[in-house]
Amino acid sequence: MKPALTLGHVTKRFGGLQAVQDVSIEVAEGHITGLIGPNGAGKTTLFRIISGAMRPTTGRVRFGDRDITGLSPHAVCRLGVCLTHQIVRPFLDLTVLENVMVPAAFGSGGRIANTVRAEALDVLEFTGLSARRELPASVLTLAERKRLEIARALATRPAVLLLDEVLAGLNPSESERAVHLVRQIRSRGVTIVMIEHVMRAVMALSDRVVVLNYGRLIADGPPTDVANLPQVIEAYLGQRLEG
Amino acid sequence: MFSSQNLISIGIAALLTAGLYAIMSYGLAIIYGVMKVINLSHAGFLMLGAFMTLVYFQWWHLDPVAGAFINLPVFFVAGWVVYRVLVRRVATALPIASLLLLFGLWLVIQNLAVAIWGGEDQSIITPYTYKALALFGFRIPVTRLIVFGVALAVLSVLHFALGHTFIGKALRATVQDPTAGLLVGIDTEQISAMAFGLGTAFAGFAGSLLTLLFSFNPDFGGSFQLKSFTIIVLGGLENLAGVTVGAAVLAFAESYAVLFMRASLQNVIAYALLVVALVVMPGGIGQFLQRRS
Amino acid sequence: MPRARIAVVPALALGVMLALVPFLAPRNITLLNLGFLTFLFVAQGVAWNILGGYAGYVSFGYAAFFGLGAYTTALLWLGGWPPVLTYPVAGLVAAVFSLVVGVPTLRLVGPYFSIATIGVGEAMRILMLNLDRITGGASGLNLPTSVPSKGWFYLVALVFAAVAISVSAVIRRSLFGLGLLALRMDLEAAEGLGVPTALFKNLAHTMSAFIVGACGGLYATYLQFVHPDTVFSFTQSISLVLIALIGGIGTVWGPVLGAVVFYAVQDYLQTRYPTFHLLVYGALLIVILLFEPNGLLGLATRLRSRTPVTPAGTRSAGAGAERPA
Repeated sequence: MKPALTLGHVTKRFGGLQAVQDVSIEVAEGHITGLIGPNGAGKTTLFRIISGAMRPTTGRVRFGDRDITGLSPHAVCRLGVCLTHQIVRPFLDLTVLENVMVPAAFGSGGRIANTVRAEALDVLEFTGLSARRELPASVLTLAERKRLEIARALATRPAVLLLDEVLAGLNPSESERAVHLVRQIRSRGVTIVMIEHVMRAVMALSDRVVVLNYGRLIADGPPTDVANLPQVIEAYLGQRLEG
Repeated sequence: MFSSQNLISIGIAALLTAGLYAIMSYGLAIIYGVMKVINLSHAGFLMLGAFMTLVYFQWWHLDPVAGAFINLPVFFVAGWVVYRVLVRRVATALPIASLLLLFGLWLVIQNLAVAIWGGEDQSIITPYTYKALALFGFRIPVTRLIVFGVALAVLSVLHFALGHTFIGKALRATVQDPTAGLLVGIDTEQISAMAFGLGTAFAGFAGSLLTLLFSFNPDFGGSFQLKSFTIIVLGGLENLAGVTVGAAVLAFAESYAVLFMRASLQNVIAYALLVVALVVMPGGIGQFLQRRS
Repeated sequence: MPRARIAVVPALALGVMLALVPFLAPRNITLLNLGFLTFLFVAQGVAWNILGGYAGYVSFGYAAFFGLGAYTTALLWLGGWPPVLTYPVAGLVAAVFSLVVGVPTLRLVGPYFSIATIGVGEAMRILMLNLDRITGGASGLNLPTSVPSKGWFYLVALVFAAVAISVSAVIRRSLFGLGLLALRMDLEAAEGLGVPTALFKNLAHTMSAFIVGACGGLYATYLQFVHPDTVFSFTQSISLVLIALIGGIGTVWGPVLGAVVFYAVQDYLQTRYPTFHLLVYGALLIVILLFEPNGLLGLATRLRSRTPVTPAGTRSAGAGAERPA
């Protein structure tokens, strides 16, 4: 199967610091790929490189057949790759509906004005935010804001959705709801890459898991296999003490 | 026009100007560095510094240099008050809010000056205003030498203080990383107030020195302020040491440009450099050259 | 669509009433002048607000567009063109210039953009002072004496204002306007959701520059004299900032209200206390930023719904969406 997203030898240096080192990944279409690793491993940096917010120092990013390295974020979004942020960023002075209308209007493909609102309402329905649609985004709870973040990304009609820690800060029932939402998104045919620290969720959701440590790829495979690899355990827990 | 005599003479003038430019921009640099606030009232305090010096001169026959040192504490207090009363309240807002607020303050200060002193040009004439010294075959106006000397002295003291006193280190720490500063116990409130006070103090100080070289009126300050911005951008916005670099670059560029263009166009150099620097080298000339190499 | 509601019928009614004035009082020169200058400020303030309010890029350099428009009209008029034909050209010249400076400077973040605009504005003024062979330099340019009546100027200015307001209203309710608001609130997030931020910023800049340029042209024919220190002055630039802030930045009618108040204050002060206008503006600016960043309209809305004050612009100094009370 043709990969939806391909990263080829992506490297990112900030001055002397190597945030990402020679990472090559093929993201399978229609699957959920988990991207895990300790804090500071370079996961969000990788997302930012894919979405165009940052250029890699070397290496290329391909979306299907197309080289999207270095394209501006709005161009990448229009092609069908969309990112949600770790720290949610709603447009606070716009209503929930308006928040979703922005990507509905400007996301992938051109739209005629009168379908934008309908699309937005549709997405709000799907993510369970319809009841809040006329409220300013500033009054939403964290869980709702996270759902809004996902809703906005969905409104761009992405082929690939990059979810950055969507479960962070959610209580168990909110988490469950979010996990269910992710499954529903996948069933719509969207390819998902998710950065997550909540291990239970990642292992349950992902078809495949990729592990980053200090910017390097240290494992790539089915969740159960990866979870037991010594280098992965070491990355999270530190080296085994001798004796 | 391009004789070596002339070129060196211009170079000397540029060097002397650089000293003035550095001291004039330091206040702005401190406030920006510590608080990330763009102080558009800097022009107002430069102008007030000049006018206060006029007052000291007219009432007590104080030399402008003495006036400059008197202004230091006076304007420090003024800056502290401005911070506490005004700036602090928009600290949590978007940066544009503090910019506009201080701009409003500038307008108020300007108008107050007009109300008190009228709009005409003023100048301070001292016994040495028209004197010049002959050094190495060049005639250099005494006033320029004095300004340069004082600026150099004060900048050196400042450099020492920043490096070796607790407050100095706290200031530099906050410039580098405000959160880390908080974590190690630096009270950023106090530091911000102090930075604003210091910044204003230096504006007043520089304003006094400016009276030795220029005549002034309430509109005075605007072009110096823009030049100060150019200087801190050229030097690297968060780099206190870069101010001297930026000052030198601007002073030399302006001085030598007169060989090729009308004198009345001189300020355009600063403004053009400002825009170019902001767009092309936001990290300052140093970073720009480093990246190229 | 964003919930900006323009009551179209009352606006039209107001427009018609204002349009009747020159026919009912054709010899009241004071009133006609007052109207002319107010409408001119309205048009410019509303135009400025498209970039400054909707997109959030506060420019202190719009005098460059006003001045370029004024000189374009002046030179073309001296060259034999009928004034009315010069106004769109004046707008066009200003618009082209706005692209030249806008493309590089709009890449700068908020306050740095503002500083850059001060530099550009001042540089233009000095350049124009020095290009004396074209612009007449420090003595300015005197323009021919065959001029239409004050009533004509009043009506044309009213038309300019109406056009500006209409453009602003249409933008505000359009997807373009939504994109501008979004990029003001969070540039990166908007960019990531597909908004072509650079294109939109420059479009807003250019459209508003066109309007301001045309206003400059009209002003030149009215005054019959152009001089760099008037049309390119920093005071001209800051007037527009003040107008938008006083009335309510980021709204359609805010700058209209702001222009009326601003001009009324200016007129009053000029006759009684001519040296104090900067003080009043500065004090107003401070008060607005400390207590009511959404200007008079914001104050009115807040009083009507009695909501607590948003601390000065914690979300945005000037909320974009007008909320129906």
